[in-house]
Amino acid sequence: MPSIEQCLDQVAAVREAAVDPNAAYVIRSRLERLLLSCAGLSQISEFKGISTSCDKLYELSASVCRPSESLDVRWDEGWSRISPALDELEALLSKSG
Amino acid sequence: MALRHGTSVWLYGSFARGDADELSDIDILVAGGDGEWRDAVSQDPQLAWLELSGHAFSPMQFSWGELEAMCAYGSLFLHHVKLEGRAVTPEENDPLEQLLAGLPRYRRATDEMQAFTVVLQDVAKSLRGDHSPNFEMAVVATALRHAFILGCYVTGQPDFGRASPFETLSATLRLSPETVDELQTLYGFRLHQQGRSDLPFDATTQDVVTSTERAATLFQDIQRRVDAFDRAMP
Repeated sequence: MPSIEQCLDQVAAVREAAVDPNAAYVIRSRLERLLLSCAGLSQISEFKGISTSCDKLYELSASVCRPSESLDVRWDEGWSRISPALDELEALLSKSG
Repeated sequence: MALRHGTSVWLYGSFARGDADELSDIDILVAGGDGEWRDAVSQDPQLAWLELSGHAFSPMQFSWGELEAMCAYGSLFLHHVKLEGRAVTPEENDPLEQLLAGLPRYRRATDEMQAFTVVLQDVAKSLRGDHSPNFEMAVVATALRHAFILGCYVTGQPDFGRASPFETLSATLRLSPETVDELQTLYGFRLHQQGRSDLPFDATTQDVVTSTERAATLFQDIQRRVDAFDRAMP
């Protein structure tokens, strides 16, 4: 079972990669790992609230990370939608911890 | 400012290549339009039949401005569409066909290889904490497939197939048929993740370590081809 600290580290890793729009491929892979870890956490009743937040993040990430190559022109708008969803998930994780 | 107008709808991906399976989506590129692709695909008998057979459309919509920006760096995605795609509603002076006709060579191959290497480093790091070996195998497999697609492209044998790039590049990298089989089996972890196949086997952490090391070696080989490609760039 992943720990909250591990999930928070993974949130930070997504943010770190997002600094460079050329790293879209890395971001996608890190987002997938984060969502998998959160899915593991959400099996526990006290973390059920993060499921909705993860679903939202999953949906948002689908468009910005496809195709997997970098796409600066679409990145700014895409990240502006993912970033608040990531903030929301981070807040939920921190609160649960 | 985009210089092109109108909408082009193109089919690409597994149905354009002819290696689709019952779970394949119908990949379409909608260039320049906003929600107008439904009319175009409904007039194409093959696509209409595929939709009736239960296949879902997976549209990628881009404005002409976005497409021209992608064209400027020789987008590999656009090379993919150019190689295997076809216009759903063919017409003279199709603006996408005109754009693709002037598509330059891909300019981000080295950046992309660096991204694949970072992904391998992430896998190695993930093994230090709680992790899913099957998930990490899928991550390695996906990066390997994309690196092989890139390797095929830079060596002049473009192949955007699901698992065929492993075979296509094998002669260049002097890989044995057994190694190609192992790479295709490894890609089964990604296909399993997408619900397209059974799990090849239940991976252990050691399997992930072995696959990551092999991928790192193959990336070095492919990087040499990318370097040669970049050196030959006009």
